[in-house]
Amino acid sequence: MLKTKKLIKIFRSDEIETTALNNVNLEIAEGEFVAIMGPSGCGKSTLLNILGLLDNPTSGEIYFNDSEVANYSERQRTKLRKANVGFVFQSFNLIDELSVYENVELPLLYLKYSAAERKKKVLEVLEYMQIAHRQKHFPQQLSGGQQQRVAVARAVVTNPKLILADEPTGNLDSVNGEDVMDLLTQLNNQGTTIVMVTHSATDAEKAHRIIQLFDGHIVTESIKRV
Amino acid sequence: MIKSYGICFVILMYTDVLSLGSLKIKLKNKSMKQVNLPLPNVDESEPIDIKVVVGKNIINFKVESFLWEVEDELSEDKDSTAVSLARITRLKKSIQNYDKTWELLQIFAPLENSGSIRVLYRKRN
Repeated sequence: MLKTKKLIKIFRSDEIETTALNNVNLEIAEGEFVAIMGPSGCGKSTLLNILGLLDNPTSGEIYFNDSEVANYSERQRTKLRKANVGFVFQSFNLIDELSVYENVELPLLYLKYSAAERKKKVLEVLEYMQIAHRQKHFPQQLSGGQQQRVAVARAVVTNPKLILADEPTGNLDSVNGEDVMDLLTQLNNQGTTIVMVTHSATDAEKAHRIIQLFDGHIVTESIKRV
Repeated sequence: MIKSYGICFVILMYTDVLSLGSLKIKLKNKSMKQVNLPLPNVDESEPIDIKVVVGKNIINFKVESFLWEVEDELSEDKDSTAVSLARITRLKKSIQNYDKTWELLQIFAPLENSGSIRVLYRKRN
């Protein structure tokens, strides 16, 4: 589903040049659950942002379902993202001025679903995430765990093939963190491909494959014991 | 007096007893998944063995220490990119050549100016 070849990302400022990713070759099959681990600053989030077409590599190739997408225009990238990719962030990134229902509805508005379809899909996913009873609340009225449930609901409401999760449990206590990991595991069991960046070896244990990143290099990969 | 050296993450499932050297900790919370241990002030190059007893099962963890200093490998080219590449190459070799009965769980960020890097392993069943 996803493939990178010789991916390089260099951040340049006036005086400093930082190589965040250095020749990253990676292949992720459809239906896989992959965890990317490594210490802070090793390039995990940079890699995830590039895989999700939120950022451009300095050089290298990215294939999404066999199409080379690194050189896509912004318009093409947005179209591909909206139709195929859901994002879950550590800090939830919900819109405070919108209710739970409206936050989850937002991606469907971008995809021009009808009002009836939007209502059906939003309520379905809120029920599934066990957060429907909070649909009229605003993000600030919810606990961290509930906010992340809403964020996961927003990520999956369009039924994306791929979910990219950047430290999804990073701002949660262990109980809520485990709930969110269970949700991601359930989604993966239903066929959604998941790529998750994490510091947590416990969370990474849920993945099929763990990639260890260090200083922008893939140092090792391990297949999880079954 | 015990000085804290750092934190080691240990993954636990239904743990009863955790032992670190002669120290044994009884754990009552059966749903506990993780324990953070403040370690004694040990030499950074010393590996640390941790044994977790879960009922009749024993899970062994090891915090291994790999050489992180690469000056001996570099000739005149000592810019940061060359140093980083040499370190990564050495780390990859250390991991590749490590006893395969151990499973790598986590690579820890090395301390500043440290001569070694810590890697957490778990013994395969």
